[in-house]
Amino acid sequence: MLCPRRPMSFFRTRTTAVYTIAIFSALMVCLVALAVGQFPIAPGELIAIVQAKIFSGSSIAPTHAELVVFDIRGPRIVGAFMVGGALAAAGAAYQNLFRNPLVSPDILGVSSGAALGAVLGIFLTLPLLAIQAMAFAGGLTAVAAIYWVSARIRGHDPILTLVLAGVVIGSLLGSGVALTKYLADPYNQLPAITYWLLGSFAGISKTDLQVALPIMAIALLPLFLLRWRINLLALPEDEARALGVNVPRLRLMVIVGATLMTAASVALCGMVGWVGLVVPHAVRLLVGAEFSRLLPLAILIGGTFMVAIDTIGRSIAQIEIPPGILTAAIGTPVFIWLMMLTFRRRD
Amino acid sequence: MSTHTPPNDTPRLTVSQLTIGYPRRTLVSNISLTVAPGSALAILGPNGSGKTTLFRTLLGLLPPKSGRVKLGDLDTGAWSNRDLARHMGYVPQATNIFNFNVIEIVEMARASRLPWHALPGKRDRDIAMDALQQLNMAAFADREFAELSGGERQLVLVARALASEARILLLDEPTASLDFGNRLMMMNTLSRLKQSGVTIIFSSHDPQHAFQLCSGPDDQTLTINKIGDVAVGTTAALLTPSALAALYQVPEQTLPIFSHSSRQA
Repeated sequence: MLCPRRPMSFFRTRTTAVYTIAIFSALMVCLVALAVGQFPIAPGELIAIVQAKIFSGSSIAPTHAELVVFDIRGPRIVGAFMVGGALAAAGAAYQNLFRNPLVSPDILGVSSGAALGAVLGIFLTLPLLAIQAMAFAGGLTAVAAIYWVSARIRGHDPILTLVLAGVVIGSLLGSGVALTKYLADPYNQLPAITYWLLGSFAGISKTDLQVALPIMAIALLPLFLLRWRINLLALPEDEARALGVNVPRLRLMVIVGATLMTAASVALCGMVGWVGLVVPHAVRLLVGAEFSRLLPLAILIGGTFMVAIDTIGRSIAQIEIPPGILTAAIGTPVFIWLMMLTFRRRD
Repeated sequence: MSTHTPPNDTPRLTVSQLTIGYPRRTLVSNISLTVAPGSALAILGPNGSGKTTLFRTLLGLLPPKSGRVKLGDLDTGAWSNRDLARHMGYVPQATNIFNFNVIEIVEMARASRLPWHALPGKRDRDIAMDALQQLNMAAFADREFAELSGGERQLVLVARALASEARILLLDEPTASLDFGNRLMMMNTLSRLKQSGVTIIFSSHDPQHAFQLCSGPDDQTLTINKIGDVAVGTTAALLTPSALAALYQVPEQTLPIFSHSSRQA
């Protein structure tokens, strides 16, 4: 028999190493994100402000710097981290569910549904909160519709019918968005729609987080509890059932969790593509496909990546560059580099 | 042998008047047999005769078109996936699973033994390693499954079925993608498992395998011919040269001589 190419301990240390580096990077990126921007804060001052907050509570008359750290950049960084983490987690879950690494959280129409909801909200000049609620509801409705349609079609590969229903209903929602844009007032509404579709973390407030955080936590719970069992969805359905898994029920729980997370993200900051597709993929290159190892790291790296993107977007130019543009522009070279590095090591 | 031998409470698998197939296509009708605990059943038949469909029906993955498949006193359709998986281990024809390493795939068999939210622990890892050990595959534990050869993958899938601690194994052409040496190894492994009390139901394209594994008093062979006719009986009575010639539609003179080999590893 052949010798194993990797000794047992290698995997464990490698995973630990990857996690350590990821946690360290997350902390560094968040600190840098707090310091840089239109109103730069020196590292010493930043530490002093954070220390004062922790040890003596909020001050009666906050300084300019304190306001920037706790009321503007703080919520924004937390929001970006949550969105990046949620999209990466949802993407990882969907890629496993569909046994396809090219799947993104949009596969079941959650983004197109949310987009139509938000765009309609803008078109009807609703207040911001209502636009967010419509985006969230739109995302959930789209996925529910797609799931319902695929469940009606029996006797075929359920994964295939889900994907096909997702594609056709997704394009229907897309034409709804296009129609709304076509009818929208080109001076006020159309720029707002375009801006929303590119995504932005600029408007995130503490109140937004108070709503979004519990939703995301609740959505993450099934994915977290099922983090090992989800692995079995990567097997052909017959095999998973023969191993004792109730495949339809497990699949539904994953869809519900991943959909809620994606819908909450899109409602919070608009459409941010790419993260949900490529971050899980990158994490898989680093630690393998085993989902209980993959999930926490996907959240960590997805969140860090999103904070980094947003920080760059708001500090390299006079105007803010939307994250939807920067994710691909920065992520693509990073991903290609990672792919080359991993494949070279395997040879 | 296994350090975690489960109690021997293997239920009996009873098939009566079974018709298998898909909504618009019937493949095989009127299958009746009983598989006693600890016995072996060989399923022979040309390509496309419905062997895999029979496995899917026995495992409760496909409902019977008519007739019944009972495990113990209950129809397989009435068992939960989870309880059924504790008794029946399935080894499909070689599949490919990307990005998982061997031990992770074998550990998946613990799904039927663990609570829905649990991760496999040390005991599960030990059982999985033990199963790999039984197939001489322990050295492959940390290799990526997709990097293995077809034969090695087949052995891993058998290890996975063992790791569920099921006492009835259903193996769909376990030797199909194996070379001569691995084929011998697989057949020896199966007869060793049978000696330890595991019930073996397997399909094969080689009648020799039926003679080799199913020559005991409780053992049986089932043949399905091209047009779906079924015959069940003891291997020696069923696999006469004339019957084999008819089953595979070849002249009797071209058949090799099959022996009741009882050599074991």
